[in-house]
Amino acid sequence: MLFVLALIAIGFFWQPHDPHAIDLSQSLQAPSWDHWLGTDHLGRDLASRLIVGAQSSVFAIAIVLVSSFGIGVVAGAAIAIGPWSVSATLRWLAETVLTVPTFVLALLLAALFGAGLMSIAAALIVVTWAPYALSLAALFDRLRGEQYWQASLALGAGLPGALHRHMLPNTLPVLGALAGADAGRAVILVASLGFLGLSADTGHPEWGAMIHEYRMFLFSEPRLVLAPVCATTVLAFLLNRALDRNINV
Amino acid sequence: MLHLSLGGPVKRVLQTAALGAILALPLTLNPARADSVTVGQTFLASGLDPAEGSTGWALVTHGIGEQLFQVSRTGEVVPNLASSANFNADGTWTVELAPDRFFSDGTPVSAELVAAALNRTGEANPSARATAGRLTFEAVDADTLKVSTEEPTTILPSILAEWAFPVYLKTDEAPIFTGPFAVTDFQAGSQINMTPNTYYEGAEKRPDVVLRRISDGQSLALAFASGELDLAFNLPVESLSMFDGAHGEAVKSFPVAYQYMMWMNTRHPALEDVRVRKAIDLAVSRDDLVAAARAGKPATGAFASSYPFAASGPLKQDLEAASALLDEAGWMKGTDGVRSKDGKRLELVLWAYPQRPDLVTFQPVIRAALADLGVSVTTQVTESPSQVAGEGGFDLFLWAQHTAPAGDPGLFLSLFFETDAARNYSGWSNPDYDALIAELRAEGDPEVRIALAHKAQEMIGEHAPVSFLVTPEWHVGVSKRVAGYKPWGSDYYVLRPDFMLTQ
Repeated sequence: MLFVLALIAIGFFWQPHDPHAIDLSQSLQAPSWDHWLGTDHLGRDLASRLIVGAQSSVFAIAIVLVSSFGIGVVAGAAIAIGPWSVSATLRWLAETVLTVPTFVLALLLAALFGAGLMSIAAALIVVTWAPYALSLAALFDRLRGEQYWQASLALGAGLPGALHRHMLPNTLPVLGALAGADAGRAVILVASLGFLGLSADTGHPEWGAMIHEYRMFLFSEPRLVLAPVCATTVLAFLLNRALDRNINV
Repeated sequence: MLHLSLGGPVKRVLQTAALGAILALPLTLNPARADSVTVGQTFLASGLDPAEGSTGWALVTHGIGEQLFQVSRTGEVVPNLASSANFNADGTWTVELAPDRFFSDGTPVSAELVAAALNRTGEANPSARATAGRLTFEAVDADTLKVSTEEPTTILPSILAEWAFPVYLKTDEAPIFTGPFAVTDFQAGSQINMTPNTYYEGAEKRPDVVLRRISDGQSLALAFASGELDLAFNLPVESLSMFDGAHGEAVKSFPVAYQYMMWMNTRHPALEDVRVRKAIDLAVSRDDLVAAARAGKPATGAFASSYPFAASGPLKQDLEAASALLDEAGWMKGTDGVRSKDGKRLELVLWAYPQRPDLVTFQPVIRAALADLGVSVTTQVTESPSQVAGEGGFDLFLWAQHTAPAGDPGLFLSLFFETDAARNYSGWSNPDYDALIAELRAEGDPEVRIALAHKAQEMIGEHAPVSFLVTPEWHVGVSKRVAGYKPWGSDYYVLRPDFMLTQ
């Protein structure tokens, strides 16, 4: 996972070739030392396009995870320890947004605010904060019944100390596993919406948009489609695995 | 090397599976009658009223509507529902109707009905007023029409062959037409079911037709490859390798009188400067675009080179001159390679639409060419090109247009470039050009008309509200059931009276 993330990080600053450079004399070249994955029908370097395409996914995932995690933790704490009215309202809201299909919501936001990564990210955030909040609230409820929690408070640790000592170690692994599932889902969703042409820039080498653009070559040059498909699958799998491990911490 | 070689049967199974999995095109859309033919097109009529937008074009394309005159396969204007048109000394025209022509409900075509329909169209549709202003039709007797034109014209037969003038019978329900096919079921934007017009000669030889809209060219190709379609009009070039002919399908390629072009929105702060527009025009390599589309010829001007009024070209690429123009206009290159002026970067959005797959292929090529020049371009694709173009919601817009649908340059030069013209997408305005078009409109001498059309193209070239790019070649897929189908040089008469089953 770290190796993949390192590759993606390097891709922000360097690619083997300009991913947009057209060279029609080099169209549909097989993989070689110069072009690791070959070239596409316009002679563009496929590896470079794949590397740049990763940035879209990583960008969306980073925004989604940080935002939804943050919102979810705050909302979860408010449900757990807030006044009844706030707690009930937030719980109802969280349960309601869980019923909204993410894909449909992303399409709706794209229609309202324009296609692009931010619409996709916003759709994911709207839906993904809720599991964090409900999970945190449930875990907190269970924790409050534990003797070590009550003993900690009785011994004068105070709420912040008890939260730090008992709450975080007991909830973070669960929330981490949720984040892993969300990250994998975000990769797939970003690619799916890119495939439908909802990228902010249809010419930007985003993985879903690449699958869409190259699908006509599925039979004559399958590597063009297989490369972004494999990249999407591998990244989703690795993110899921990497973050899911936290549950065993 | 990852190149896979797939055998015919395996390829066929994969293609069919891909169709189901990727596209999920419902098989139930095709009634699959033995004598029914399914035709796939990227465009389909969105309504049945020729007075609205370019519906008239779609109806003529589908073989539903017909005009008084039409353009033959060889590009000549020939009588259709009319038999003749004569210029009168008082500046009006007399049009005689052809005998024994009927609407698809059996109503005879009469001068009174034609006049009612075309007067209504003229009032409602600006496209019908582009070449000679408003036309007024008056029934002299059952078979004779008197036509008065707002602007003097000597080319009325050509004007009446324009797509805005299908003849129809207005009823309380959907209009009724005279073409070789009659509509039995109309599902706006998705499917039209048609049956042979029994009042049209040779009806017994024509099949029922199901017209399906598959707006994405790639999806159209997959539908044809899977055997869903008997005829697929305007296949993308990337798809052609899929068709090996093993199952009787064939691809017929043919030059068309369309032109691919790129509108430049002169209302954009950067593009209002003619130097910027000229620089963009000079940066584009037509040869590269032809190579990317793997078909067609570099454009020489507004019209396909087969027309006598086409410009002789060539339209050259000159990056040095382009760069100098942008420098002169004050757009200087920054360290990131993008030009800027007064703190604003030269960033443009280039639009295209999937119904013309070649245009989508052009986007990255033009983007790369303009990046070399220091213009940052992002690309967008829209399913509603007329709406985006009509609202002026673009910077650059790749566009496909038949520029001489009735064999005459007047319609295009007027409708798309005159100040306040209905389709002046670029927003360009030039009084000298308007005066030139007024002169062209009134001119009857064919040689002088050609000279004026050349001059108009020169003027457009000087001001560059548009960049003419490629005269394309298109590809139509035909199954063995309709193997005898012959495409004409455009998509104006896709289905004609001679459309019938080969086996």
